[in-house]
Amino acid sequence: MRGLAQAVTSGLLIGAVYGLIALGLNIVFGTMRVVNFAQGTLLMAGMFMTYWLWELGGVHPYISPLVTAPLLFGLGFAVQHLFVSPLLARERAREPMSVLLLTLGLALVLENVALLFFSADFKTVTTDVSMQTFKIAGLIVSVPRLVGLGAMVATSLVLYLFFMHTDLGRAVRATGQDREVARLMGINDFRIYGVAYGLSAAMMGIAAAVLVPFFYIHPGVGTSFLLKAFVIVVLGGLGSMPGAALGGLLVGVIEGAVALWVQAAVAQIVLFAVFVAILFVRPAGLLGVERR
Amino acid sequence: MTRLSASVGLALLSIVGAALVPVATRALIGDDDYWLQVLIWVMFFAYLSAAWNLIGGFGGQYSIGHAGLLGIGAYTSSLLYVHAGVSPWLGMLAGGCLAAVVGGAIGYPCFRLRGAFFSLVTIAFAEMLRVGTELTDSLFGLPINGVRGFLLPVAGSRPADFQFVGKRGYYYVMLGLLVIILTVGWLVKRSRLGYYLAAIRDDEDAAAALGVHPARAKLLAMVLSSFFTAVGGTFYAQLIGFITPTRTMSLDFSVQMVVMPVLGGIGTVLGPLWGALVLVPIGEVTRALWGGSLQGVHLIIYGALLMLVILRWPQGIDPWLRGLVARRRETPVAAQPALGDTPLVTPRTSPDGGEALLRVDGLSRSFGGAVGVRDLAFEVAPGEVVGIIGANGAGKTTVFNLITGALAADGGDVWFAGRRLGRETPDARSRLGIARTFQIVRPFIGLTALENVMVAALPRAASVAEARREAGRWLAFAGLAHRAGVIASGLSTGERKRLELARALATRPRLLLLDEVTGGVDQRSLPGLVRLMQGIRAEGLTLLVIEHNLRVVTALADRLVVLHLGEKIREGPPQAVVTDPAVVDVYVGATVARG
Amino acid sequence: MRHGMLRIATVLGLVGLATMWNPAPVGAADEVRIGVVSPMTGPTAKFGQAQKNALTMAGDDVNAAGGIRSLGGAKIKLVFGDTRGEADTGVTETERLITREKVHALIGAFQSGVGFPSSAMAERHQVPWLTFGTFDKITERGFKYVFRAHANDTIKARTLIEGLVALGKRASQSIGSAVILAENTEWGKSVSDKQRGFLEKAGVKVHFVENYPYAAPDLTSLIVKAKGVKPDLVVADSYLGDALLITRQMHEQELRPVAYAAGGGGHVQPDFLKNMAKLSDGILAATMWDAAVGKAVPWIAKENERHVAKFGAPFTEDSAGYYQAFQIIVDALERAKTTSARELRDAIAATSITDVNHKAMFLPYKALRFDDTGQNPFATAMVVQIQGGKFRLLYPESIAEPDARVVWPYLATTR
Repeated sequence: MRGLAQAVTSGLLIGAVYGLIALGLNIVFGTMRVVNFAQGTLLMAGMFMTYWLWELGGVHPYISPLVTAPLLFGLGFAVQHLFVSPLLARERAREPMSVLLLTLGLALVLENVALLFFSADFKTVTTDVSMQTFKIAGLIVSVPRLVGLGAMVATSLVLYLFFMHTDLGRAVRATGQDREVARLMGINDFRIYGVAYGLSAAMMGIAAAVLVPFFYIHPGVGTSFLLKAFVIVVLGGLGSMPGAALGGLLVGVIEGAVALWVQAAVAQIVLFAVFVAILFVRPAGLLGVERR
Repeated sequence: MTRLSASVGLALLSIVGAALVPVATRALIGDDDYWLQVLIWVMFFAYLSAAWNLIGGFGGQYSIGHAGLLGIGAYTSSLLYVHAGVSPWLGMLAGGCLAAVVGGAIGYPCFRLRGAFFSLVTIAFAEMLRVGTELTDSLFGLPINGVRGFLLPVAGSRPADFQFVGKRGYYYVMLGLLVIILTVGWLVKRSRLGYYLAAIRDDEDAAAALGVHPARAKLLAMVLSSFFTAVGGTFYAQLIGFITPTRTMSLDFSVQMVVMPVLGGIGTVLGPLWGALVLVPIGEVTRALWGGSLQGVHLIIYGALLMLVILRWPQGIDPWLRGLVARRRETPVAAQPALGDTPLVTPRTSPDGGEALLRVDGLSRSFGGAVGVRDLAFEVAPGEVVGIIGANGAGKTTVFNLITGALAADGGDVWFAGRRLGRETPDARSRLGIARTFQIVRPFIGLTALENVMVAALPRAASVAEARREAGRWLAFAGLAHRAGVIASGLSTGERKRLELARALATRPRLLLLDEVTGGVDQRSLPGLVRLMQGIRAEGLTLLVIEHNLRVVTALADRLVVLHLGEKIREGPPQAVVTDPAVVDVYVGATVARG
Repeated sequence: MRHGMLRIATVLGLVGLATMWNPAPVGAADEVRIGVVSPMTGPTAKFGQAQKNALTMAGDDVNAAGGIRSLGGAKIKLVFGDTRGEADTGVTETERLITREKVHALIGAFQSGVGFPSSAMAERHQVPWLTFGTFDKITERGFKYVFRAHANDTIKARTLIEGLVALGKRASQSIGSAVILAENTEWGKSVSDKQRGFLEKAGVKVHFVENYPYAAPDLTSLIVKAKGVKPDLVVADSYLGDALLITRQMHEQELRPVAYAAGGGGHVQPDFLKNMAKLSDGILAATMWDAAVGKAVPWIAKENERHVAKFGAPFTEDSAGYYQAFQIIVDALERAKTTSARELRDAIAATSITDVNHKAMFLPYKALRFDDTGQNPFATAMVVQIQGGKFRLLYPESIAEPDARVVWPYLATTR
């Protein structure tokens, strides 16, 4: 029983990190319906930036978002403006396949450019908090992951407020629901897209800051998180920030529990099975409001 | 005749010519095994891409999990060979059939997921299969070694067991397979299935409204694609001699199978070949030139090319090549029988002696809180023309959607030819004899005018050729014979409206629903369109017409039904209805009163 | 119509010509070409680079000393191929090196999954192939042209377990139970199976063997499971990323076995030491080569120092293996007096070296010979322990560092 409690606790903590990444994906996929296969590589870019800030400038990863978030925002905005917007302008479908393929190509380029310049070596950052743990009720909690949980809760709250209660946020959601109509209603969709994509990329700066103290940095690191992020976004409900947060925690717990009872590798299968099931049984996800 | 044989000739020549490229190259490079190997890889990827293209390009369902099917083929034939002594030639077919079943079983329910979601689901299935296979050491007591990989015995030259010494044997097999898959692609493209798939890809709902069964068409494409992909898997196993789930069923492999057709020309017969011809050598060249010093360069090029193609040349290489080689001609369709030669519409008959062809009874549908239609009832007698009028938002198009089955009713019934329509899908209802046009025209953008109408005629035609003839007649009837060879995207609004009509008529309906045919049409084209509608009416077809233009509808209709806020408020002969104060008040007066 | 056909034919012909790009291979008559099949790009590129370094140094040495004497001073030319870590690429590269570059012998391919089919290609073409790769079956196919001088998975696993038992006895500790955590790859699965076998033969109860997904972000559940059975020994078979993760999470979850051993891979990488500091103290690992062997065999230390001076880093386990393979080929060439494949092959098969100062003994064994499967039956592995951020060679006794003692248990210094 203690083992399960520990597995669930650790699952929640790593799930929080998944959730952070999923929140970022949710902004573009959930609200704008951009199937962003480059989300993982943006995370990777964020992690490398965080790494170099630490190596060259001694900047603690938890402070790095001050620099990485704006940089990534700019990168995201540029990507959206140069590549995605022209596609969205000419496609009729709600989630055009061409966008998926485009971001796939982008991911290929980014990952291999990183490989070219930074080589395939694993890089790690060891900070004061990297290996700290403390105990709550006999359960071991890893400090950097707890920080991740905190960051995820705070971010999902902020994003929720942004999307539900600000004009800009609502404009993004409107654009996601129907691009044509939104444009007709005077919403400058190109700028909106840019903001949304930039925000999504900036979020990867926060996720990177959380990950770097305890996870290795490597050009291929984004891929492993990418598919999980998609599962979470669909599970939680496209467009729902609390949903992505909840979904992340849930995925972390499922992973941990299955890994304990059966095998870690089986957890992968279970997660994908859950993904397929959700799409058929409850496409709106847990907290999604969208009706098809 | 000329256009048909031209395209056949061109296609045949392209396939033969394309196949000659590897042969010619092979002859020139002699027995240099290395280049032969490269050529084999080019053909292998071209083959896989062409197999994928059947469901991806033709079917419009982008599976990014096809490597799973490849793996099924590789493992099936290998297991049968090692544990049961079955020759891989037979094992190849077994693997293909198994993959066809798996692909079909998984694909069929997944087709209803929209584009990108379908792709994500295929990734999920392929990954589940891959991880599952990695974890499985033995299957039914037969060792497959899971992640450690499965070894095939190297036994020297055994052609009967699909093993050759040296590359030449594999080269010829791959060449043969490539020719087969390209031919299959070509055959599919010009077959009934090909037209259906093209229409479904452009507009699935419009295709369903014409009686095409979208799921069935896609299923067939998926089954074919799965079969051939798996066969490719067997070839891979025999060539390398060692298969692992990690590589054979990898996401990377699946992505490669998608990138090449996209680059080469999605949905074209030869596109996959061009894609492979460009991308595979790039991989080879970058490795040979920079082997060791520059990491991952070929992938950067792949990714950049993919982005470039998507952004600038979404149609890929193939149309560009075709542009170099042929010009699209507006061939007039061969002489059509004159209008009066054959009955164009089903003659005016009553199904059960005077009983209504269409009866709507207590029909209701709401959307959340808003009422679409409430407790609606009316009848349409065979041969009658009934007009539905009402202000915007009165529920007119909703009525159409309920009749065609595009929407499900909350309450009430629709009776057609004495039969209550329950859960019949739009395509089923179309086959029963209900046709409709759409308020915002939905032609199949990528097809020519002729092909658009052919799609409608195919379900009832015995052959593609017959459908083409039928289509030609309907185009002529709609006054579009001279635009038969023009791609739909190049037609004007008025022409598209006519096309819509021709298409609906080609389904030989008993009841035709016309949704605001004159909407958005300029003044000049209007009279011609109205004449067309009168022509249809004169032939005795039963019509239900939604119209805003009161002059048109009063001239056309025998009876008018007036809707307001989802309810019928008046019904009767046109003149009486239009002058009825209640109607005027609601239809015209509301705006006047407010203004 | 005919006009169109002409255009098609022209286009296709041009395409055909383009695929003809086929620069003629240059092969001097009096040079010996040795093909090197390695992952020069891709995730394991670092290993390939290390292998290239080692071979370049070896090749330059031979050429500076006058080349192959029995061939009239013929120079060695190394031709590098890039497998990208993929089986099909490895096969294609091997073929390219043989048919276009006309190499006389090959060394490869680091990843067993790549070496396996690639060596089959060499066998097909009847060109001698010196393996670097531990997968047992590489030399169990009845091939005549494939050789392996170093330890395979079985030998490595046996050495590790026997070493653990022997070292445990020395420290008066016994190992009663174990768990094995191996990555879910060909190597991990293969190695862990063998380790289980030897552990059980040595009377150790193996609670479970789990093959976890490579590159997973979190392995807490696995560690918790292991903790639950309170094993004396934890064996990990992982590459670098997972090695770091497991070690860290063992610390977090307070799993402190009496002994923590690694089958090789990530735990013996310099980067592991760099990033793990105190947590690495006491980890035992099986390896085929460690620089510490130079303490018992001085010329190896000198060679290593030269390597460090030239490239800024010492030999690695695999680059040492490639170096050994190279020296074997050179030795065989001298004896064969020809580069003809058949005779070179025979010369390699007839290799018999017992002098510990022979360059081919860079991985020192009792003897260097090949049995009829092509495997060196005298090959051994060694067990090292990380102490104070350095590897100390502890087993077998014949090459162990004289002044090194085993430190037991794991993390003794921090308890």
